[in-house]
Amino acid sequence: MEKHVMCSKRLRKGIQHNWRLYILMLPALLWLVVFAYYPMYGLLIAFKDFKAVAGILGSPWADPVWKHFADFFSTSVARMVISNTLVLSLLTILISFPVPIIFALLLNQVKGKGTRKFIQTVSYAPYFISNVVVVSIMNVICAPGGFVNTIIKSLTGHPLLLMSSAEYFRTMYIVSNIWQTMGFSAIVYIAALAGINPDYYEAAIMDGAGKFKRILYIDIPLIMPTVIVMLILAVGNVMTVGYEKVYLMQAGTNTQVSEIISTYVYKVGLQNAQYSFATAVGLFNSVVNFVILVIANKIARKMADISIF
Amino acid sequence: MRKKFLAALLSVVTTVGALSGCQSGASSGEVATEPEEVQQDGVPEEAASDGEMESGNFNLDGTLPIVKDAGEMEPIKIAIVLPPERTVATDEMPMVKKIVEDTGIPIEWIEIPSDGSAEKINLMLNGGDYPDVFWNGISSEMAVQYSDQDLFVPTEELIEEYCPRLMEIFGQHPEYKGGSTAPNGHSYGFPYVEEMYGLVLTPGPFLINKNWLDKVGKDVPETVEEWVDCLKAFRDGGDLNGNGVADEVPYSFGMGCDGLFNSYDTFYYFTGAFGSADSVCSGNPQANHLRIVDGKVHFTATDDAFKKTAEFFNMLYQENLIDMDSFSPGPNEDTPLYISKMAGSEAVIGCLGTWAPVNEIVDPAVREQYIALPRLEGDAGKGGVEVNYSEMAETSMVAITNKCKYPEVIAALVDYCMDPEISITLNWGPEGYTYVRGDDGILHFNLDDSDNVILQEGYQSFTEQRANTTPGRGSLIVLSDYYGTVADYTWDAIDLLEGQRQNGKEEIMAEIDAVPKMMLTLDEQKRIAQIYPQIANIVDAFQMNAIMQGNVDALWDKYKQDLLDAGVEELVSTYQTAYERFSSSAN
Amino acid sequence: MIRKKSGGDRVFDVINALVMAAVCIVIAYPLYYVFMASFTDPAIVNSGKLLLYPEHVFTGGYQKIFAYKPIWTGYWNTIKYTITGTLVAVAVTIPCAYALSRKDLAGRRIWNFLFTFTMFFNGGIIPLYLVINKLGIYNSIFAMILPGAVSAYNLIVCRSFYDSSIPDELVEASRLDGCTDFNIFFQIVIPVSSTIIAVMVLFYATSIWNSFMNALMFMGDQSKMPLQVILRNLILSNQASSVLSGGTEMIERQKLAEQLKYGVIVVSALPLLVLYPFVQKYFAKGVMIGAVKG
Repeated sequence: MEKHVMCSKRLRKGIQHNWRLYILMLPALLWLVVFAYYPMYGLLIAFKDFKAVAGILGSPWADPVWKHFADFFSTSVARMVISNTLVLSLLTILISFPVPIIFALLLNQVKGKGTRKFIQTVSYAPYFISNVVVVSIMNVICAPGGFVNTIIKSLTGHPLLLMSSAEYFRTMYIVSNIWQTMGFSAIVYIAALAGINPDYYEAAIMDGAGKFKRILYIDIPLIMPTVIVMLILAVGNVMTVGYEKVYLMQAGTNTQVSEIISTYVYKVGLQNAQYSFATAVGLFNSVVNFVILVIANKIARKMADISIF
Repeated sequence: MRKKFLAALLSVVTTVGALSGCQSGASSGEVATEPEEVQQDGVPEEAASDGEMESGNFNLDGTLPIVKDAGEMEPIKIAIVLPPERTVATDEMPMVKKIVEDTGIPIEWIEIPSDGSAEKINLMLNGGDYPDVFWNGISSEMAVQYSDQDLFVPTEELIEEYCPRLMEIFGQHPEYKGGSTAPNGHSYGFPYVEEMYGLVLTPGPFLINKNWLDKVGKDVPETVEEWVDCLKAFRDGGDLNGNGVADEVPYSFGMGCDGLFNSYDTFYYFTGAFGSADSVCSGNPQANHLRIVDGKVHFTATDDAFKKTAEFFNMLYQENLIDMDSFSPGPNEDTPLYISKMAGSEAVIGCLGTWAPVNEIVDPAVREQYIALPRLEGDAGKGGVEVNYSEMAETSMVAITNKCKYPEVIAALVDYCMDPEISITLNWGPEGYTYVRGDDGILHFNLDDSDNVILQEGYQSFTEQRANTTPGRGSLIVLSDYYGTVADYTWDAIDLLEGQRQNGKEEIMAEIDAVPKMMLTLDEQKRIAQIYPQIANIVDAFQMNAIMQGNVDALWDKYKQDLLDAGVEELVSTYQTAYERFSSSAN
Repeated sequence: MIRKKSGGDRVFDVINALVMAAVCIVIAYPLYYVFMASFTDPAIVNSGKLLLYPEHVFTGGYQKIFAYKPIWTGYWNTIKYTITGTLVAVAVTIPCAYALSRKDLAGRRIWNFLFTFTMFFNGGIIPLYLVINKLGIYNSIFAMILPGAVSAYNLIVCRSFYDSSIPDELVEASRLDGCTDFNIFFQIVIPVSSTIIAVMVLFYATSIWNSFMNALMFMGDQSKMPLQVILRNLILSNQASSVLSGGTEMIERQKLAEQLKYGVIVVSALPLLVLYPFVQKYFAKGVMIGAVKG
């Protein structure tokens, strides 16, 4: 009985102030309809034989409707690119996800605002360097006669083909990824850490906790919600490795690991304006990503009561 | 009072209009509807009836001007993709002014910047907002793609009727007609051909360092074996460039570097010496490793010669004759890593492939040390490859869309451009800028003493001047016959051509049949696009493994099986079908 | 209260300092390399000899960049688009994120789902182009601002901040005091949101500053192009594009093209790098009230 009263009270209160919250949401909702959902009919291209003159809606349906998907899976390439994408992506998440967090935690302990600001600015600068230049620098520095190999030669007597062999492709990709994104990704965590109430530290210090313990028992638990949300988002993008950098790093000699879905689609689909094919594969990608996101979200909700929706 | 007057006036006007409409089909009221019907299927006959009405205004038999009174027609909208250096407005350029003056055609230029132009053009076509004509920017794939949607007007009949010069060139060179015919039998737009004595049909000069040869006491090699001996001598020759550093490298190449007409990846050069020359297709990276043998399309990367070349390179690698940098990518996909070695003040590489030595080997003192290798003879043949790249560079320039009301005027414009002098100046720049007319009536390049073009009007480079004085490659044809009779051969290609000739260019071109430029159907294109990347990957991986690890026999059979699984037979048969179609339409 | 610095802490500090120094060197070296390369003779850069200092100073790249007149309109356009775009985006995102963080919002899960969905599925460029045409904003500043006004990713980040930093009890209490949601939002939430607003400003500004695809597709006049497009054009125009475009000047052009690649980065990234320290001071301390999740 009481529960019933509580529920309806809450519902009444809910409706009462909801309209105000909706007003706050209004501009975003308008955007959602006009720029996100209305254009989504473009996805239909994946099921049609796109004819420019007829437009997207007027083009005939593909025959069979899943023709482009069938085309993609009919080649031996499909299996290879899917597995390459997954491996590259999972490795990237596994290795480069914790790095910005650790960096933020350590940075937070650096004394001196000026020093901290300097390190932060330096760390986030690589984000602005375009992929073309990053790969270009890597090609020059990691060439058999280049700087990195000079060091390697003095250690092992033998230069390594870092940029063209299949064995090192994933390593080079992940390392350069970390370099490019660590500082920028850390911003969210730095902000979260900045928001921790200093009273907690005071109390911990009085209890005799050193810096390391403070990180372990205050910092980490308090930014955990942020970490989990970011992790869900990262996992939810596991099938979407951007094509540009991988494409630039591809050489004939490493394609059995470097040919991923997006580079394949780029070569096949977009270079020939085959929108239907490219959209179909992109759609497949998105569906898989979304399913993984939903699963990850469910797990997070069960275990830590955090969810994206 | 006023209102009544206006109403009366209105009724009079409409009555008169209606009456005149009843009497002759050629009144202004009727004309408004006819063009719509024309655009429905874009067939020239209907346009002719439109033109008939105005044919008094046009000269379509080759006399100039083409349009007698520009005021009597609407300006034709022509879209043009701009090169990045362009700063001058299109209708202000000297060459454009000349064309407009000569032909009298009123043109409204729609400018598209080159960055993102392909996407932009696709958006224009898909959104329905496109002009009458595309001066450039429509590739042959796009022409085929839109060919069944009646977006572009078929031009084969227009060419027959209004382009006598072009018809004559087709008569002498049927391969250009074949290459610009789409699978459905029509052609769209007009061809762009630039014959530069086949300059781009073989790689650039393959050079060897004569100074070093002299120092180690070797003659210029003429066989592959002698060449290997020279490399060994380079390797053991000590400090050949005298700078005190052991930085000499016998031979360097750029594995997988397909840029600039395969000038850098000299692996392919040797396939010919082992019996069957492989090939690279510069114009279409999805046609590498294909050749015409006995009239049929043949995939060369499975020939024995390929295997032997891989073994040969493995031997070179084991003997330390190859620069390690050969196996790593360069600063971008068209440039090999060793190019930076050529920019220094000492010679560091013994033997290498180049495209334009004058640009790549920066220091003239270093450049002089190199000479072009003669065609090396191997066990089963001679070295050298032909590039699968036709002298015809584009098939669908000046593409006419179904919105154009005056397709025959455009055809006449193209024929005007086919005049040798117009083609040449349109391509390279107008008289008074790029060219000066000599007393012999021939157009000579306007060069100064150090062989640079004298720049006008404060332009900083020749490319900038060229981009701002002529609209460039729309439809034009420059035949090899024109050189020396109408204009000079391109001044900075003379050395390049000479180097190629010493490499044995003419022999190579006579021996090898390259796959010509052909237009494929959409399905063919799609299928090839889906199969080819994997095939290319397999070939490249085999090359790398074979060279670096040896044991080629073990790898070979698996390699051939992998290729079969990836669909190499389908690839060949697809091209074969297209080739047969090409051969029949060329005749 | 005397704060003793324990031995453990001192060790920690030393290790931290070493780690930070190593990180700085490893990150900064390539940046320094880019900076140097923009001043150095490209032949040296390409040969891999560039290590610690530029051997042959060559300022041709910068001269070319700054003499290129469209650069200045590009800068101005980018600044315009970034400022207005960021303002709009932040003004649209923050209220929505707050609203979505309230657990008593009706339909909350549905809206969250719908926004998240847009991160994965989008209809491609053709329908977007048609929408922009239909709205009549082609070739206007709105075409640069509106499509990117909401990023679902940023929205989620923002919302999770509000989730943990504005507890329901606080809102309840204020409501009992007679405040409407608007009062709560503008007078309580916004003042403590300086951190998240700063983060949002940084994210949106960076994304707009670096964008060029929207401009290429949706802007018609060259005079409205932002910096990134102009810089790309500059590099394109100096690449060896045509087969033979003029003997010895090719060498100069190739040199320039290589050097431009680096100079362009410095020119386009510098303003944003300078922005960061300013924004960073808004990362206020102690904003997270009642932070433990529960």
